Parts: sequence; C-alpha cells; structure tokens
Amino acid sequence: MSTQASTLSDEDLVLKLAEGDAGALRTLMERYRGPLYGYLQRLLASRDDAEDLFQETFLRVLRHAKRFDRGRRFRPWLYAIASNLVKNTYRWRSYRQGTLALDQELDGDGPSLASSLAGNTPPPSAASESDERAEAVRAAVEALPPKGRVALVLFYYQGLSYEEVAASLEIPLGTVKSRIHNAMKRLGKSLEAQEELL
Amino acid sequence: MSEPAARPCCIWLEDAGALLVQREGLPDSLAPELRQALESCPECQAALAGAGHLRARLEQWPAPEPADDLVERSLAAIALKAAMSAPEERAPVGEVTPFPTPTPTPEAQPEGKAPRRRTTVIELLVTPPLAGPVGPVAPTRGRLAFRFLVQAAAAVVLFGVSSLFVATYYPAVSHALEERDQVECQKRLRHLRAAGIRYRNEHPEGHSLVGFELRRELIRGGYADETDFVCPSERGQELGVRSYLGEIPAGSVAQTSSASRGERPVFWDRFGNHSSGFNLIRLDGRVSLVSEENLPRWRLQSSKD
Repeated sequence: MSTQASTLSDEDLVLKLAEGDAGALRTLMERYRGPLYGYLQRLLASRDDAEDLFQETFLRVLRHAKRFDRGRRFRPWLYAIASNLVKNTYRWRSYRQGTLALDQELDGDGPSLASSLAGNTPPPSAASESDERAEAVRAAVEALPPKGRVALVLFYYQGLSYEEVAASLEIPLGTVKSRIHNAMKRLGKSLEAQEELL
Repeated sequence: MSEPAARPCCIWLEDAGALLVQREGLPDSLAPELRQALESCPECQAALAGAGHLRARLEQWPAPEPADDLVERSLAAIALKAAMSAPEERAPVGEVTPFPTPTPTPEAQPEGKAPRRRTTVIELLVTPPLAGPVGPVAPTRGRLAFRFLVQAAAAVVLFGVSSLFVATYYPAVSHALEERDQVECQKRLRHLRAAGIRYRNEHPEGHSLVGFELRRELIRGGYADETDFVCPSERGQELGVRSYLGEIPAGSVAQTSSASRGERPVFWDRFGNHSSGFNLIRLDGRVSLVSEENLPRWRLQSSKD
C-alpha cells in the first residue's frame, strides 16, 4: 500500500478505482479487511461464506465504482452491498433449510428497553468463562430475527450511526431505530435468561 | 419488573437506550437538567447500569480475525471472475493470440489516436469495451434480403444443373442397365439350353419335357440350379424360377438334323421381362431378342412348328 493511497479518504479511493487505479482497490480491501470480514462472519457464522461474500462485495465495488455518488459516503455504500449479499445468503439458506424467513419482523411486545436494561445487572460471578460467554452472546445474537440482527451488528459491532445503518439497509431512519431498539430489548432478555441459568 | 414512570428522563432513556449501549457514558450534548434528572432517578440509573452491562456482554463476543492472505486471495478471485466475465477478450482454446485490437472506427478515435489497451483487470471492469465490432454483428434487413436472393438463385441453379444431368444421363444409364440384363439373361438361357441338351442326350428315350416338369428334372438331375431359371431383370426377379419357360423335344438332339428342328426355341423368358422384348434360344443355340412388333410373327411360326 503506497503512502499516498493510505492517506486518501475512502471516497477518494473509490474515485481513483473508477479511473482504473488497481492499487486503490487493494487499499480499500486492506482498510476494510477486519471490519467487513467481522461483519460478514458475525452474520453468517461461516468462515467460507464470509470470505466469499468479502470477495463478492469488493467485486461489486469494483464493477460499480463508476456509479459511486461523490456526495455519498463510502462506508454505508460498502455495507449496503455487503448487506444485500447477506440478505441473498439468508434467503438461500432459508429456502434450502426451511429456516427462519427473512421477512420475519421483531415483535414489539414485552417490557420496555429501559426496564430490560434495568434488569441487566451484573451477576456475582462474571469474571471467567470468557469463551462460554462469547458463545452465549453469539447464540443470542444469532437467535435474533435476521433484520434485527443485521441492524444490531451494523449499529453496535460496526459502529455505524443510525443514519449510516439506514443508508446501508436502505430503510427509513425510524425503522432502523425501531429494529435496533427491539433487537436490544430481546437480546437483553435473552442474555439475562442465560445468566440466570449460569 | 415495573415500567419506569413517564418522567422526561425515563422517556429520553427509552428513546436513547440503544445509543447508551453502543457507547459508554451520556452524550456531551445532553441538557444539564436532563443529565441531573437521570442521575437522580433510580430507574434511570438502573437502566444505565443495565446498558453498561449489556455493552460489556456484547463485547465478550470478539471480532473474528480474518485470514492473513484474505486480501491477496480476494484480489486473485476478483481477477479470475473479471477475466471470466470478459469473454470477448479471451483467445480461442488452444490458440495463443496477442491482445485483440479491433479495427478502429472514425467514431472511436476522432483525433486519429488509437484506443489505449486495457491492461489490468481493474481497467477491464471499469472501462467500456474497446471500440469496433468485437462480436457477431446482427445483419441488416437489406443484407438479409440480399442473402435470401443469393440463396434462392443458388438453389435454382443447383436444381437446373441436377435436372439437366438426370435428363442427359438417365436414358443412357437406363439403357446400359437394360443391356446388361439382356446379356445376362441370354447367358442364362444358353446355360439352360446346354443343360437341356445334356439331359436329353443322357435320356434320349424320354418324352418331351415342358414347363415345371422340365425345370424339376434339370434341377433334380443337377444339370442346372434354381438361380439359372431366374431372369436378372427386375420383373424376372419378382417371378423367380417362373421367369423362364422351355420345352425339350423328345428324341436325341444329336439325331436332329432338320433346319426347322434346329430353329425350334427351347428356352425363352416371359414377355415383359425386358422392355424391348423377350429373349429366346433355339435348339441350334442361336439367341435372339423378339421385339413386341415381331411377337405375332414369332407365335405364328411357333404354332407352325
């Protein structure tokens, strides 16, 4: 990665990519190697699928670089591409395995987020079994409905703002807030139940 | 677990709970009175603690580490996919060709400058195809009509030549085949005559043999085969052993000296076996073709004999 390329913004790199600069693609891939792979791996729970979609995401970036809007930010665009690929994978898995349908929405019933958070007090023995806890969190996130799971991972683990999540998923801001709100509520309850068992 | 009271701080917390999970601490932009209310509200304090705990729980799921060579492998895979998605740039299998350079068109190079070759995968993907026809071009209506006319003319010429050829050579070929059949027919008649004479010489005391009896005696005695009684013509093939008729007169052939007896037909084929008449062989060994016109005369002569 050249020094010049590494100092450029993501958006400038996409513009250089559109002009045929192959180095820009490598720089972008290096820059998003960890975050994008982590996003895909968290949502797909498959190393192979995550790597395939990582490649496919950047292939699409390459193909559509000329259509990239200069006024837009690259990160939501990248995650929008990746999220669409994840949706396709979910659809394929749902079709193949007859599992949870993509269009299943989170229910808004139950206690409020604040009350759920209030019940999330630390348990007495919360210092060990990190692997088990990581697995418990992974299982709890995976148990979320796909739409809520995608929004939550983008918001919390990828650190995107509400607006960026909305741009990535191409849904209204209010829907994003609602999905994340409900996902966290459900996640809090799920983790609370797991801690009671532990 | 009871719902928090509808105080402003609780309402704000309900709305911003997810943000408190995402990042630690209250936002800097929070109004001082709201911050004070949050700090004094036990329900809100419990919710803030729960948000912190949930954040801590979520952080226990570490980010998956990608493979070290993920970028390299991805670039290789992208290059492969790009190469596969650019079929016009590929050389035929088994043929090594340089990078194709289509014939430049005036539209493609307004200033007479040749288009720059796309040398990298990135360029192949992000730049439009090179100017000039790179694939099969759909023919225009005029070209299609012209092609149809040429094909129709070629078909007419081919049909005419074929007809001329058939008209010229069919009679000759047909005549030659007929000649061949006649020669073969006469050969068989000679063979049958010889068989009949041998039979008669060995059985001089016998009576006259005709038709089926003659055929049976010659075949049974080994003087002739069944195939000798089949005319090689098309109709003769249909009639089989009934193709030929014959009559061996009584008495020794060697004792026969009269000219009229020598002219007596001994074997002949059925009328219609050949288009020009029918063959017959006389006792003295002469073979002749009796035409349709001569048939009445021959019958008359035969009846006299």
